[in-house]
Amino acid sequence: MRKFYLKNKIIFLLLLIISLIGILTYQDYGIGIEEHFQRKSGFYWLNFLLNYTDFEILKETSQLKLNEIETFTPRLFSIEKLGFYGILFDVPLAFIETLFKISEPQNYFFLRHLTIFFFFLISSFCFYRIIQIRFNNINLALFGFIAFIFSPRIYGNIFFDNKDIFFLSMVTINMFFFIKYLRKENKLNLIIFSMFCAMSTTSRIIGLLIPLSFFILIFLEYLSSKKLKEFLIKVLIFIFAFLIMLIIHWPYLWTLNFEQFKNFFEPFFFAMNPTVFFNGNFYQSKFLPISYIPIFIFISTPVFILLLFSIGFLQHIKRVFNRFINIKEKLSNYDFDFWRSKSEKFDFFLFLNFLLILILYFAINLALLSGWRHFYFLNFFIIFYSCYCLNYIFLNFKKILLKKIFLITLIILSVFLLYNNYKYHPFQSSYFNSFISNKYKKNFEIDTQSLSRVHAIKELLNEDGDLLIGTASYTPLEDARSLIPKKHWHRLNFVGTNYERANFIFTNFYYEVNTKYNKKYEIPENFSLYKSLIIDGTRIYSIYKKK
Amino acid sequence: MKLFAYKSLFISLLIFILYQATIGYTTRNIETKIYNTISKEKTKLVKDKLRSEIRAGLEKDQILSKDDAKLINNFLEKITLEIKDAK
Repeated sequence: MRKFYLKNKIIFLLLLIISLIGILTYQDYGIGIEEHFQRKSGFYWLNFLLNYTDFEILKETSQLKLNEIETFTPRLFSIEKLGFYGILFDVPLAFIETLFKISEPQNYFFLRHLTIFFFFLISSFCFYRIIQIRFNNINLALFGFIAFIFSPRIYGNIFFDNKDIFFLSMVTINMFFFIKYLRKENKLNLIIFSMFCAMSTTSRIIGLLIPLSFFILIFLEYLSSKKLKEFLIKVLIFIFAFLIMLIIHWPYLWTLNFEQFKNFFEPFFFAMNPTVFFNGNFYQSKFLPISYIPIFIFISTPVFILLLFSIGFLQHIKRVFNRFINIKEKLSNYDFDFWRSKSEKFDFFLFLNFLLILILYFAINLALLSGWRHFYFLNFFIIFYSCYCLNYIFLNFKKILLKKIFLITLIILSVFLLYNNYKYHPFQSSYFNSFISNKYKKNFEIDTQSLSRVHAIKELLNEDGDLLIGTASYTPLEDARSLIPKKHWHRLNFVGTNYERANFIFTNFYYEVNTKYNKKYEIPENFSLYKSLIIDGTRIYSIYKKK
Repeated sequence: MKLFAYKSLFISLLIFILYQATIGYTTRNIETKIYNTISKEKTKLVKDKLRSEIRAGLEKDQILSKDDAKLINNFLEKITLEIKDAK
């Protein structure tokens, strides 16, 4: 144990430093667009679960909280309609809020922010361990750890996004338990892995691809080894543990009738179909070009990570293809066709997962919006393949001088990565890489999570007197109050698009309608620009003041 | 048997890629174009334009020229006659 700590002291130091940075800066971030809904979902399911118990006081407090949410934010979707969201994050937080009677909005939202931040840090440590186990190289694992956390779009979300970042974290932890299972293939590790697969599935339904990949993997294993009994035992144990875990921690399943089970996947495709501004054009969310996610990843991931990922992924495809063309009916010296070692088996498992995600994306017309945040779990694959590429380069560079030059370049690029996070703070979620010019950035939605609204209101509070604030974008501005001290609430009046009553208008240039035809968000002529926040040429938000 | 299974899987994957890169891509492109052309805002714009044109027409003393009025009248009479005959 002591040896482990000594060997890994740099990672613990890094974890400490990042924790400190997080604790010192988490209050700089605004409130995410989904947070109120997530909190409501937490209380709804907490109430549901408490109804099976005798904790009357808790039941009462929790019901009061739910009523308060309904009154304070009446426009939120009903949970009955979107009840399929997992409860792993929201219910424990709702329980803590109820148990400790946290009533100040700032406190319970900051608690949520800190929790998701630390949960992500735990998953980052798992990522570090995955790279360390897979490549047996601590330096590479450290690079992976830093790239995994500090990819700006990801870092910008780890303080408030308890849906997409939670899923990314869950996938990472899931993969960690898979590599643990591979190291020691026993029943206990298989059960733990399958339980985490269930948790990934409830966090986002796309998590179901992990168990699916696992089945494909063990089927291929069976084709090579012909050990039918072993194969069946694995399948049975996995399915049993997976289903048990799924039923236990997903109360949504308890509410379904036979008819709903028959159409199990239908609710997951519910979409509002707002207008999405992408690449200079307006599209319906359900009918976006297929290039939507690839382009967003391409323009908002650091260039060197993109390059490493592309090389790494292509290199791995080449390896899989080579294994494929060399398959023979009878095995010679090896047990399996697609892998020769546990490390290679792990790579192949990730490849299957990634392939299934690609197939799903291209085969199904998904309703998308908000950039690639619903696909942030791909950060796991992007950084893994970047590490794969680096490992390949280090193994194939013969000259030590070349290795040193490459290492120095990598350190410089990592420093730039950290600098970009500093430059964009606290709007790292609006980061664009150098592939895209400042002028071209205006062709994309930026503050899709409405993070800037708290920042803008704090700015306006510097003005004297009552504030009548209009909104010229698809942003529930009034929800920003949750992170504004209550003593200021009486000064804040939100008038929506009723601009005649407003003395200030806020916009983060995020619209749900085609503004070429629909003029509801047009700034009236009697308003002039009061303040604009532009970071690195990226326009985050603007405030207009009545002349 | 094993090789057959692998080859089948590989060929299915190839067919999928080929389909998506050709037919799938084209249909999706067309679908995207159609649905985005007839979006809610655009339909509303056309409706509003029609309404404003009708309003502008109502404000004029005469909407049609005498020749056009005569032509449309003849056309409608002929159509009415044909409909009656069909009974």
